[in-house]
Amino acid sequence: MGDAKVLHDVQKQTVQKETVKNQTGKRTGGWKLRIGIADLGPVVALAILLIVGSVMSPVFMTKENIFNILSQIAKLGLGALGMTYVMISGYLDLSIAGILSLCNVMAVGLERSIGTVPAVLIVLALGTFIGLVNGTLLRLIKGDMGASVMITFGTGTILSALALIYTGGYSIRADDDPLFYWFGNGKISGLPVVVIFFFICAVIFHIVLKYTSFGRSLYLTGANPEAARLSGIATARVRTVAFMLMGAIAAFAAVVVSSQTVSASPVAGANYELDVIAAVVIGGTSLNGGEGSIFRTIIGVLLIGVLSNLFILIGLSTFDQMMAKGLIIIAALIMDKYKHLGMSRG
Amino acid sequence: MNILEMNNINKSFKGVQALRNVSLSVETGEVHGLLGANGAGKSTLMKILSGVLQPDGGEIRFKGEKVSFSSPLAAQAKGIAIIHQELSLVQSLSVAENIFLGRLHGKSFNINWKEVYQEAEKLLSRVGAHFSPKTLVRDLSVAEMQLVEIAKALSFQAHLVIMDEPSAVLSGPELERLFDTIESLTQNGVTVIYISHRLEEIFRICDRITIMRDGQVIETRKVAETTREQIIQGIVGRSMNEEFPAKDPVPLGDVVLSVRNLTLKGRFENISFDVRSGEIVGLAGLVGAGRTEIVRCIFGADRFDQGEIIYKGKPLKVKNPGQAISSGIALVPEDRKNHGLITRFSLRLNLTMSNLKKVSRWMFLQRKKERMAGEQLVEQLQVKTPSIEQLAVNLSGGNQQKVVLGKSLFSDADLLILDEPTRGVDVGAKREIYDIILGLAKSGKSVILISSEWEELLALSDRLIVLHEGKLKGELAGAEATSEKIMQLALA
Repeated sequence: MGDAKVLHDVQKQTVQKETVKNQTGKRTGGWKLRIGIADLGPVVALAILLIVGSVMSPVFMTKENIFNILSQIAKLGLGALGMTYVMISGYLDLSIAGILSLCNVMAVGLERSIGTVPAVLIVLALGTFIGLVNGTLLRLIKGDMGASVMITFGTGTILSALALIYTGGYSIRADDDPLFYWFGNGKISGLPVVVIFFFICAVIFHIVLKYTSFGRSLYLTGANPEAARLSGIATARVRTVAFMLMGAIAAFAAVVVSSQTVSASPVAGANYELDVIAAVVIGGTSLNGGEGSIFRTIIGVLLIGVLSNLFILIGLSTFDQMMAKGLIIIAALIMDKYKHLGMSRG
Repeated sequence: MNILEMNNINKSFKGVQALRNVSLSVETGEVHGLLGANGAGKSTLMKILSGVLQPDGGEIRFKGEKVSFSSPLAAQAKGIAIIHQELSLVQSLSVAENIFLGRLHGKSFNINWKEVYQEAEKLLSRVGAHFSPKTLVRDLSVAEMQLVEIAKALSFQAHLVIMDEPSAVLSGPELERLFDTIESLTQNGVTVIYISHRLEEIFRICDRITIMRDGQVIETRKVAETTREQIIQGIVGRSMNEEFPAKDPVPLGDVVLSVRNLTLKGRFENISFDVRSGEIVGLAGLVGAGRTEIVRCIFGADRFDQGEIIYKGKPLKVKNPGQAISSGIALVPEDRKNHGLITRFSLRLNLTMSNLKKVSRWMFLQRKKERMAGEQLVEQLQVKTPSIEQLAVNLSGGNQQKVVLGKSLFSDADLLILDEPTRGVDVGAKREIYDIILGLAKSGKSVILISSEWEELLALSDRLIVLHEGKLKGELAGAEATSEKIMQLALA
């Protein structure tokens, strides 16, 4: 029943979330039946894309291509899980580009010197620690959303610089180690390990967000930090933990990326933060905090993954792809704004 | 001759009558004091006069001519200027630029700065200011900014200047200078309407006063023929009816909270008082007396500089509201919509947020438990809502306030701090909230109650603590506690 229940709950929450936005003040009790149109948008878009894709390209719906898409989106998807937490709590984390770059080169560098397992553990610890630093800095200055953008931009810039210093600006190759290679390229009964990792992380992030008091605190903090604080929520700690999870999962994404390419580039994280935020927003999670879900984020990530795959299949150039990506991000933000406008008109 | 005649002005907001047949006449060249408690309708009346609000009915005559102002600019053009309590200067610009904001001399790209500064200089000397018109506003003291506001009003050739609590932030010599300025204005034929809560000032500078209460004018009289007591009586009124529940004497228990010499520089100093179990202690004072600041410090929401808080026999050392709540203290904040509730979330989420531990096991929320707890609170407090999944924003003010109270009950607090728990709540719901508060005390909980409504404080409190500008002015209990007595202490 596992999947079915999760899906059912997702739908239920989707409906509830929608009522959160529906402030029309009608006490008709019919709210339970309302379908989350805002959530439906990305889902419908994804469905259309899948149909269009299978019509346009015979290879699109093959198992190989689908696994290919899923492996491709692992980096984006992992980051987007963490970013969903940070964004629900009312902050943004721009430092993940730096985290990804630094952890990427360090994973490979350490793998060469002290082996795969210690390398992975150290890198994960480093990512978590950076999250702790971000959270602590913002707690000290009692930062708002704007401050989180600037602080994490600052820490991220430092980390990007450290990544370049670490390798002297060059890319480095990983040593041959089957275990290291396995993270990004291994398969379990035909299923890419990366996809399994992503799925497990997504389920955990979903459960923690929806069913624990920590998850609830994230929503409360993001929706109204002062009201949450006065109600006894340790808002600064909640946000710091969100940053730490974000840092850890970005570090894990770095390990996956370095394993996929069996090498590391000190600029591997370039634009990572913005791609991730875009995916979360395209899924329908608000930039204003207090709302969002892992379900939405996964839809957003899949949308981007499928779209890029289709672009390649139909032979669109990289430049055209960039153009399309930009347009989609703008469209997603306009939709987000429209949702909130509708709310205030209520 | 009267420069201003306002006749039978009516104004209502969403069915609430804010002004009822208000008439006001002001003589040319006088300083006319406008008095009344918070919410008496003074500000609404002045907003209508200065074109910010439109009246529902009535007539305004200015210099004998019937006028109606569609905007503040229209009122300004006729010679009516208002200086708001919150100053509206641009901090990063110079004094002269602020005075002539949007109407600097010369053409857009060719401003005649010499003329601007000369004109500004003249205006500043008229109000007795001794700083250069080139000074940046952010480098001025609040008192000096006030003078710039007045100079700005004069630059419009204002014949009538409305000052809304200009003295709220002033004291001592700064206050003297403001009075001098007002005097020189009236000598030059300018008329002033002066709003203030400080009775001393009224006697000092006003020629006549008009007292308002509950949206109506109570009386207009000459200051010279008025006593302090008459003014207080006019402001407070004497009505005490079954708006309030009868308070049975509750046997008081041990001291639960003991505040010793609490000081936060610039806000309040040397505040000491006790609260016993089963006791309702009222904090009285005017806006700016420091009541909210004090309770926020007790609750750990803000830091204090010196002093000690002893709670249940032990020094209370809380760094944040979370720790205060775990110790058994709850706060119902002044600002219900922004600090008390997350209005876009459901009642269930709002009610349980003060104690998530209570509805979770191993970090996991127990939905059923949460729902039952929410429903029980809604029932207990008689919140009128179709379901606990209703969004808080859809509830009336009174019901929202009950939810905030429910939230603090859910945290199992023994000491409840209620900051203006009935602000913006209609009469019926008010009574229900009073009953809830008295019920809490009866069950042995301690309550600190802050309210700007004296009647409410008198009806509910066992003991009253009166504050004035951050200082404790006295404690009143039993027959000693009367509105007049509070007002005397609060105005100090």
